[in-house]
Amino acid sequence: MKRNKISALALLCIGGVSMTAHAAEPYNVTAHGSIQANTLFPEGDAEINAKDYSEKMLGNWYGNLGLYSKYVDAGMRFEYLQHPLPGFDTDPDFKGWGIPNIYVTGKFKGVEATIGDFYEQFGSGFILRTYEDRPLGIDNSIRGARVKINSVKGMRFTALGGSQRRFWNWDIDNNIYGADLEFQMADYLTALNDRNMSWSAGASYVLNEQKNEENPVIVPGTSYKLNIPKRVSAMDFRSAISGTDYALSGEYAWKGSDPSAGNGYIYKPGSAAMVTASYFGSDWNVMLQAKRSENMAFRSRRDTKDIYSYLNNMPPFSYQHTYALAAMYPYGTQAATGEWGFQGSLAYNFRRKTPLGGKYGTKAKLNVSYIRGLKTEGETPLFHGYTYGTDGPRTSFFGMGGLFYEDINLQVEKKLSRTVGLNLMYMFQKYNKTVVEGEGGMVTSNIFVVEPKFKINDKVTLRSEVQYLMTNDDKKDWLYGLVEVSVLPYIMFGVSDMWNVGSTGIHYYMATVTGTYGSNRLMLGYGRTRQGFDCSGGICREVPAMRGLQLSYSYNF
Amino acid sequence: MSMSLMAVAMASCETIPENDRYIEIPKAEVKRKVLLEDFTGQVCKNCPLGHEVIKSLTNQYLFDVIPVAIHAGPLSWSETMTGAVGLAIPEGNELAKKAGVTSYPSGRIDRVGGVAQYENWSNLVKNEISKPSPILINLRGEMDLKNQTIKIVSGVASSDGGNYRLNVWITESGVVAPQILPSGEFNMEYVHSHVLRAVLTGVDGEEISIPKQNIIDGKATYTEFTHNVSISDKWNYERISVVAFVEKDGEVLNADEIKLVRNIVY
Repeated sequence: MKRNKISALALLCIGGVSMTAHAAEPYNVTAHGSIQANTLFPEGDAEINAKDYSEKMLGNWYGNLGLYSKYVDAGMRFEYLQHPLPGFDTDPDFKGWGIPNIYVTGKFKGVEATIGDFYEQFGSGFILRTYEDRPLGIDNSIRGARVKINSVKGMRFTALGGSQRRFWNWDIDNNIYGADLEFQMADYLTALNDRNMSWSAGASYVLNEQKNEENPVIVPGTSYKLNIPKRVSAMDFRSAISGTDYALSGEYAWKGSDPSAGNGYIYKPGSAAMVTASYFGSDWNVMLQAKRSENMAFRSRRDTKDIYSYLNNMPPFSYQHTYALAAMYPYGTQAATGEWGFQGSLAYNFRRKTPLGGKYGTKAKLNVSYIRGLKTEGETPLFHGYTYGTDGPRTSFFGMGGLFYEDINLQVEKKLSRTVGLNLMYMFQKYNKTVVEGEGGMVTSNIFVVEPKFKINDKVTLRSEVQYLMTNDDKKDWLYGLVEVSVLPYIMFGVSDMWNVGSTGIHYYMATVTGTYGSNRLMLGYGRTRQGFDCSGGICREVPAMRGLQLSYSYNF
Repeated sequence: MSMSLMAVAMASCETIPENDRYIEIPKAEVKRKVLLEDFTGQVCKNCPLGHEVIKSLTNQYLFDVIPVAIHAGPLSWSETMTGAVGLAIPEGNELAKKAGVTSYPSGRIDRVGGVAQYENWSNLVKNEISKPSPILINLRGEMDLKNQTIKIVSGVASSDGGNYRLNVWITESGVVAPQILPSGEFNMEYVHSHVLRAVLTGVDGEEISIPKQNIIDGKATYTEFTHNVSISDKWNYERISVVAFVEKDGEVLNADEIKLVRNIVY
């Protein structure tokens, strides 16, 4: 990573901050930044229903610059999204360009103060997680001020306030305030250190204030508007304990009455609870996790239902697949209605020179995800035919409703010789398409993946994938093939085809060339992209079908 | 410190008892008819929720809210599809595209302020319906079953005068066709209302010029425009309505609707 030394004075000029007390002192300042440009030259394609755009070129382009010193950091991000990639234009407000992120942070003796735009997460994110995810088009940063105190041994404290970004709007009528306190008990209890144990405990609080009174919520067909709480509080309590070979953690969150478009304007408080247990053996490890959440869609703007104004993020309980067909039906967390989720994994490393390990050893991993809705009891209370103003459907804590998602997959990684490796995966999946996408019923599928890798010589490697998705539902069976040749360290060629063999017979072909030179990476591709969902962390964005030339460039310094 | 945090948190909680959650608001004074364009689809799970809001609004405001169900987008079925009754016509997709519709259901109220989610329709209708309008519309229609045609005469009067765009559409209610429900199950005999069947004036409407006049107590001299349309074999002529609306600068100034069943000529 290239480091540039710039005078402190220059940093302060760029940051627009006057700190004359320190300006006279010579500080080392490093500059880091990045450029990312994803571009598509779109072409219409009636067979896959790809739209024919009037623009010749679409793109999402970003540039970051950060200056870092001992006492002051400053940074900014430039975005050009005036002609965004397909699917990012679902909300016309996404379009725009400018500098939506700029900040200055001062640091002194364990105390850190930021003014400007920042991201924050309390605990697992049950009541606060703001982040940037470019493939999803999410940047829900907070513009305001934040203080972090790490100067007291064994304690971390964060307090913040500001308004949340929604595309190119920072509505000052919608304000967020929050605080988080976490203790590391090992700093107070020496007995823990003696046993190589750590124990943390934390608590968070978030206040979401929405003053907007211009748009009352009227119960349809009546002359009543809702008396909506202007302030919604949320609290989170968590603790984690771990030793040399195990880890246990638990977290509980509660959100006050938060009627919103996403929950049908019901007044019932929200809640979430999660427990996690892990054990690490010498050749194996196991992880089990359970979560129950209800009415936990926490947004800074109550009249929105999309993914862009969340204040929180419920941790996903489905395995995040990277194989194309395994990721074809990705589960999106149902934060508003709630869910019961269970997931577990068991990994085992078969040692060399054992019956299953063979000459080079074998790694196997079993992952299970099982997610159901909440069971409702009795009739849903209504006011003039609507849930508006009621407490919504009644539920019991342990009651489980219909199946939302199930995934059992076994992955095996095996080295066959010094030059040949093989990855295998079998997956059974049940995906409630109606719950996630709005229609389509339950899709039950069996997926098989074979991924051989060949090292041809010290410079050239060959990797391929053959995947088959077998189902009687939705668009029936799919076959996927990929061949990738890497000429180290500069260039990689890839061709792939996703072929619907069960219903439409449509091919989604793609050819790519990727070049890497230092911190530069350039990808050139041509082909079709299937209409579907792009998911990350349980949050999903619908991606329309597209065809065309793709150009992706990134540079870090 | 945690206890302090808890205390602050509890103090900030705003709990509204069940009896205090509804605030009665003055009824809107109706000064115009309002056009509600509902962009909907037969395989759109939440679209029946929009239909329910429309029912509530038409129960509340009766004929002063004029809904049109515009079946469009990827969650709609085309009128030309085989094997099931589809309700989308090409003009519906054009209207959705021009409106900037990206999710379903969504709607426009008098084309003011862009598309809105169905949860906001009640508030938007209340705001719009109490605005005075410079436009009066007087619709007449005649159905000739012998020649399978409909003749529509749209009378328009204006207290401001000037150039406007006139839109004349055909809608049909009581259409039995499949619809996916919020539960995810299909109702194969769902009764669809206010379905857009034909656009007689193009999706941009027709430019008209209306002289300025004093309108007193709703009495005016109307400038008349005539349109004819053939009756499609997909329509049930007994459930046909005509919707006409006048817009200027992209916003609807007034609308009217008549049912044609009373004017049948055999």
